Amino acid sequence: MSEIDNGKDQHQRNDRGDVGAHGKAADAAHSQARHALDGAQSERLSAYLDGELTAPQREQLEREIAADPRVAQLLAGLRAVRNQALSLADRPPQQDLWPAIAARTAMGRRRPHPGAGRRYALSLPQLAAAAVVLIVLSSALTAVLSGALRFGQRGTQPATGQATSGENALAWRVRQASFAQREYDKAIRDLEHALAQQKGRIDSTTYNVIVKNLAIVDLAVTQTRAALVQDPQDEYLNAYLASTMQRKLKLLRQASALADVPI
Amino acid sequence: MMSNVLTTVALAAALVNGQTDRTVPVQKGARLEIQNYGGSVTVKAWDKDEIHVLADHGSNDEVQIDASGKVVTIEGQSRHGRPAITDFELTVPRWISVTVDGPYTDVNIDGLEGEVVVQTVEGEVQVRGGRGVVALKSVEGEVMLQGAQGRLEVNSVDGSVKVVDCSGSLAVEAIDGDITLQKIQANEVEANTVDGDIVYEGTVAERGRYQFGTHDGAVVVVLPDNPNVSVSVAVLDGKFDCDFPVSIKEERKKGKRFRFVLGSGEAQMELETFSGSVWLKSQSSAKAQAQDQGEQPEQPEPQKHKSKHKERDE
Repeated sequence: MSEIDNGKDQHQRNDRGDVGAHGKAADAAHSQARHALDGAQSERLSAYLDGELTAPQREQLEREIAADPRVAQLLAGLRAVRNQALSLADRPPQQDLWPAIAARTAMGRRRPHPGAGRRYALSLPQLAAAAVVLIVLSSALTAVLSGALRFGQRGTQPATGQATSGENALAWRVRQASFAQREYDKAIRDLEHALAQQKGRIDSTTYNVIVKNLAIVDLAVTQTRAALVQDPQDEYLNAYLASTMQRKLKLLRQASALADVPI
Repeated sequence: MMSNVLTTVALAAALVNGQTDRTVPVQKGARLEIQNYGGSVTVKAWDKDEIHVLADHGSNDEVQIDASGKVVTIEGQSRHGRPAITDFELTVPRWISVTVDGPYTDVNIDGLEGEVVVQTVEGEVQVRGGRGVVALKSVEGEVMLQGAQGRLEVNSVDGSVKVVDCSGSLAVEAIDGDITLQKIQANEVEANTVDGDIVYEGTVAERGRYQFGTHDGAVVVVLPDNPNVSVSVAVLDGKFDCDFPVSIKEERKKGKRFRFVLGSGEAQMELETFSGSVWLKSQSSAKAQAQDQGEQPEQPEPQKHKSKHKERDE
């Protein structure tokens, strides 16, 4: 029997060793509220760091940051990841994927600052187009992290302790991933706002289910980013973050398609 | 007779107390596509090259059947613009491939040997059988697949997924739901959820690839007693428990990420959970444990389906 205990096991097991109920049902309401809160906070804080909030929104958030250490900690984490990405040396990549991506998606040009009006003006065809762009972006992100994302090698250290890539390559990957994630974050926010606009065209129960599940994925993203604060160059966590964000993209695409279902 | 069949037949089915009862012949190799907004679709197999359609619907609704070509379409329709709510009971050739698209439809398919594709939003999906491509997707409902072979894809956003006694390649995804895979004989398995546990019990094929990941949940894998597999484990906040003797070198201070080899290590397996534990069990120990508890292996039970959407039409 081999066992490694890495701290608290959040999943209670019975005497048979089976995975049993672990209190999720009892905590469902609280958990759902927590998910929604964390997800919304993460988005607001990202927008705050990107200077995308209006003055009243910014002032409100700054009051919350001052009043709630947990929010302040989350902000510090996001800022650390951001600064780390910006501070990495600007080494020429061995294989620059972005010109090709930019040529194909027109995302290479720095987009105008997305104002609230433009965000809310997305039509369904535009929504679909955004989803296509995101597919390409997510594929690019995957390609950037391809060394880490290969099956069974997502940053897992081999038992021999031999690193699979050099420090420079790793730094480049992390930097590119951070860049892609910023673009990704913005695009996802557009899709989220567009989805909110479609609310009346989606069955209310289904819409709430989608929102709940988006919050669950958001929490996963937030927790992964918080872990990255401790180790920004962690290849595994960067890859994990990318795959979690791809999950969110997939769910948003699925949700946008629901607007076509009659209710 | 065959020429009659080959001509397009758009049937506004005779309505008798809101029921359609009709049998149409189908060409060998044809596909069946069913569209139903709400209600239920139950499909059973027989050895005739015919499709029997029995449908309960509102008096203002109808069922349209087009059996003229290689694609047979059956659709519940309303005469007054409102989406139709229909409960279908179909008996179809065993060999036929079936697609069901019903946003508010429960789907129950049994005994087919063709491809099966099901897509619903708010509906439960139960499929027994299926060969080739079998793809089941629901947003809000639970999904169960049993006895299928081929390229299998099962997806639920907000419901659990259960796959039993299947072979081929398997991709399973959920967001808020557990994933249970039992009696699996597949050379490639991917199962991922965000908030839920994953349980896998099955064989490990030579050079097979297996990946199980959850963000908030446990991963339990039951392997044959002498597996040949290279295992990668990532556990950030939880523990790793293994029935097999393994030698692990710790490489990191935070989180647990490591690899080890069982037997020849020809297959590859990746186990990861962000917030939970990983349990790697042997079949013999799992069996002994079950016997100690007097527990019988869990089997999915066919459920008698009663449409929960019927009230939409009443």
